[in-house]
Amino acid sequence: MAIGTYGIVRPSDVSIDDISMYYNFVPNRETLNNVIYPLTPTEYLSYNTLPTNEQIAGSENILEGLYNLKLPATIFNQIGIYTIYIKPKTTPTVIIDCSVLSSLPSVKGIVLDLTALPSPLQANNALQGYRVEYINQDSTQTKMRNVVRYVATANKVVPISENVGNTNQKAIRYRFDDAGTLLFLQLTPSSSSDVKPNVLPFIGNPGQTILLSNTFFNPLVIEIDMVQNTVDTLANILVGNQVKDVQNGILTYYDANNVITDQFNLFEIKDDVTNVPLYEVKQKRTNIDETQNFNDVIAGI
Amino acid sequence: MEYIKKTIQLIMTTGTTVPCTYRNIRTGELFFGCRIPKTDVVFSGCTGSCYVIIPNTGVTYNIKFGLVQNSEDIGFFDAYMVDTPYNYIQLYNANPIIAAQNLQKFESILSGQITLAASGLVTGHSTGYITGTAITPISYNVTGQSSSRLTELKKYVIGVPFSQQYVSGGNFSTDGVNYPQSIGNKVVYFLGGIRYVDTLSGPTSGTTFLFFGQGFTNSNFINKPIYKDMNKENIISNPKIYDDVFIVRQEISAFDKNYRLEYISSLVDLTTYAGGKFFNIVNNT
Repeated sequence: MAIGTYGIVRPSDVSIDDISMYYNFVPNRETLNNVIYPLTPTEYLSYNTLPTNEQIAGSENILEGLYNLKLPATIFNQIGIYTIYIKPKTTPTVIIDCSVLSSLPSVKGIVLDLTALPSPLQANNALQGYRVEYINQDSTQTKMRNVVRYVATANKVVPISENVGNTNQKAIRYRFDDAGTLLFLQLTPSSSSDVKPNVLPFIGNPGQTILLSNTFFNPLVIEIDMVQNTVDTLANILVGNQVKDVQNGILTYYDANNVITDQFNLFEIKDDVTNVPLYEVKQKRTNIDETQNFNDVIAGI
Repeated sequence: MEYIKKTIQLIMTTGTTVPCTYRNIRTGELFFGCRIPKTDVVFSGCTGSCYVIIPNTGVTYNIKFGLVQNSEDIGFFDAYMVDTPYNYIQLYNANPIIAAQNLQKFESILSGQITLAASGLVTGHSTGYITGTAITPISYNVTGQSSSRLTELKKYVIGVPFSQQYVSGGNFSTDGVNYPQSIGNKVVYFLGGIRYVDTLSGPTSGTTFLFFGQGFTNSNFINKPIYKDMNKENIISNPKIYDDVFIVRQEISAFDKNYRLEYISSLVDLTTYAGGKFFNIVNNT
């Protein structure tokens, strides 16, 4: 019995605008190719909709979790292995400040420039649930491996100056205000552990570049093995239609629709002195004799 | 991460290529045709067409795939409730040069080099109320069926006409029966801002209700920005309260000895029970 189940794997209804797509091609397993090419998701992905009798009038009626992937032969037209990588879209940006809320100094967070983000992410809490990853600030600019934080809240803020504790010192803190052009992001985990109450988890540094990724779906890799023959085409070669042009020595194979799939020259090689046959040759033709069209040949009977 | 493997047959088609006139370097013999020249053959011109089998670039291969999301509730959030006024130092100025100077003065104040008074910076005042969180109210009706609550408005009188049997003057702000609207076999009455209609007979007999929904403008909702209290991480429901556990304290009023209901024998005892605060006696006759 499931009551109050809250942690589940749910069918994703991610917008295609929030998806990034890439592909790689190698002609065979022996070849290493690290070159990754981008694909525009809106051109290659589409949604599925609910069956008619389950649709809600006026609604989008998408069937969550099931997407279509189109592979146009303008790109996917070679024998070999295409690897398609589908992942949540990532937006790089820079931390403007790391600070606390004015009335809740225990609530820490990072501050981002609203105008540097795409407009859909500028609303209050639009970044909630997003993943934050970090770029090292040293000269290597490498990605900080295995460090991930998640956005708990994201609200527009304005800076205000406040007295610090019982001293006469002042400090800039932030206060929620929709008129602000900065975003205050609370990250999790950002609270102290029980065993080290005076040590806080890393949430980033001012000026540090971060990568914001949505968590709307789990990334996916699809490996497409483009092949010349399948069981069906081999079956056509074995038990499908064939024509042997005896006069011209041409053997032609057809698919289930009588379209020419392969053509061979048939000839013998004889000893030029004794005229004794030495070899019977079946040689694949690179140019196709269109006069061997199956229907034309049969029509001539 | 999920990894899917698919095998797709490359769709081929018949294409055309151009036949060529070529010369065999060794023999000097000229050829014309569709065969692909070898390394010892030189092109001298191309005319006409030859047929070859090539990948069909006009097709599209379609695949369906599933996308899932691991979803987990990280618990309660708290509303950011700041409504206390505060003073602040005005640093902004439409002139960017003056704004930069103000910033330098402010840094000097922070470092203790000068005082706020000596800096010449002006202070401002804010009421502290969070701005920009207004929600536009949407008017809508909520209707349905319920059990009758007409008896809650009945007076303790007998032998009087219908217009005197119930508390009158009902409307959305006042509880009571609305006699002018109670025509025929219908009784219209209001309780707590909800309009009830009791249909006493016929195929539609029963009780229906109607009220104007307030939605997020309802005072039950806190329309404020939210923040996450990390102490409540992964807490996803209210703590369970065992409300059937009672601790009976021995509380005896210094002025009233009626602390057990069994001692009450009259209405006067009831109105004075526990200092007169326990029972709310309403005269609705």
